Amino acid sequence: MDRSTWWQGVKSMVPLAVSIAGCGVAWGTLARQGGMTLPEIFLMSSVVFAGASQFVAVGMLGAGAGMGEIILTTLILNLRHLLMGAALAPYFRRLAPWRTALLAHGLVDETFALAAERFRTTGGDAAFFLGTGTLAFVSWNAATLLGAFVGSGTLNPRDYALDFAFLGAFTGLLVPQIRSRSTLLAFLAAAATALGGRFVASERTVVLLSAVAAAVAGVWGERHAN
Amino acid sequence: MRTDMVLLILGMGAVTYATRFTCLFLVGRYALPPLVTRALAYIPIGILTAFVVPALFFSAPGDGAGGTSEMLWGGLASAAVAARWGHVLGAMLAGMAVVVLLRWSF
Repeated sequence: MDRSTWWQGVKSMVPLAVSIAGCGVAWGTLARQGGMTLPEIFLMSSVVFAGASQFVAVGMLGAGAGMGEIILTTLILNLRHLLMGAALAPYFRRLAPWRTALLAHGLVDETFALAAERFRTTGGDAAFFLGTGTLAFVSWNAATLLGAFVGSGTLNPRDYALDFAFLGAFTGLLVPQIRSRSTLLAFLAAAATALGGRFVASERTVVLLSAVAAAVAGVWGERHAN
Repeated sequence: MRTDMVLLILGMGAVTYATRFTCLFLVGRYALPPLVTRALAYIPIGILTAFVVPALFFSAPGDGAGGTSEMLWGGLASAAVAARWGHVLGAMLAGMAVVVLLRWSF
């Protein structure tokens, strides 16, 4: 375990941690208003640790949905982790299983995006991924508790464009990856799928479809490069 | 804590962890066909694009006259900074600044 690499992971995560925290405060407030207690809020944030699923769960609880329905919805919302895991797995193949098991809990949209960008050049380092996951976990849990304690009613995140932070950081991670004909084709295919798909499928299904579209278009682009 | 809430949380946690661990653990340990390995390299672009592009065009309408286009302008600013300097924090802050300015000026 390389501490300086771990620390690099933490530092790379800072911009995205800001956006995670903004989201966390909002969820904590919502969960508290929805009748969840502080220990329940902390338990859900640390055990589930998935923003979109937690928002949906609170909404479904409020609508009187049953436990089975909510768990099934959570599974569907998180299927995208399978593709993210598959994309990162080659970098962790020599890792002890228990280390992979620990890293897995830190696999969220934001840590995946950072790792995918960095591993292209470094060939993968578990310590970096652990660093990003650590800060993501701490900021999410601290923020949801903060939201549950004080509420976010006094601060409108829109006034500070915090609702854009996630988009801005992801754009910053995406653009440098488009550097060849095949990556451009992958981007265009994913963009077309994402824009068209939203009319026929749910937002999270579209993520899966776009990932597949990018993979197919990218490989096709490599074959027809000349 | 309520028992049913704890059970719900454990159930949600179990299925979520399963999606995180399964491929991360299994895929690396078995040799994949080269075609699949190459295809996996494009997954990050696909996933990032799916988050970014629709949100830039179709975010919930703002209450100001800027409407949804503020997100698009912010995204273009972020993209420009990222393309020129490749700096994630810089890209995020540039986009946020544009969004804030558009919201304040309308």
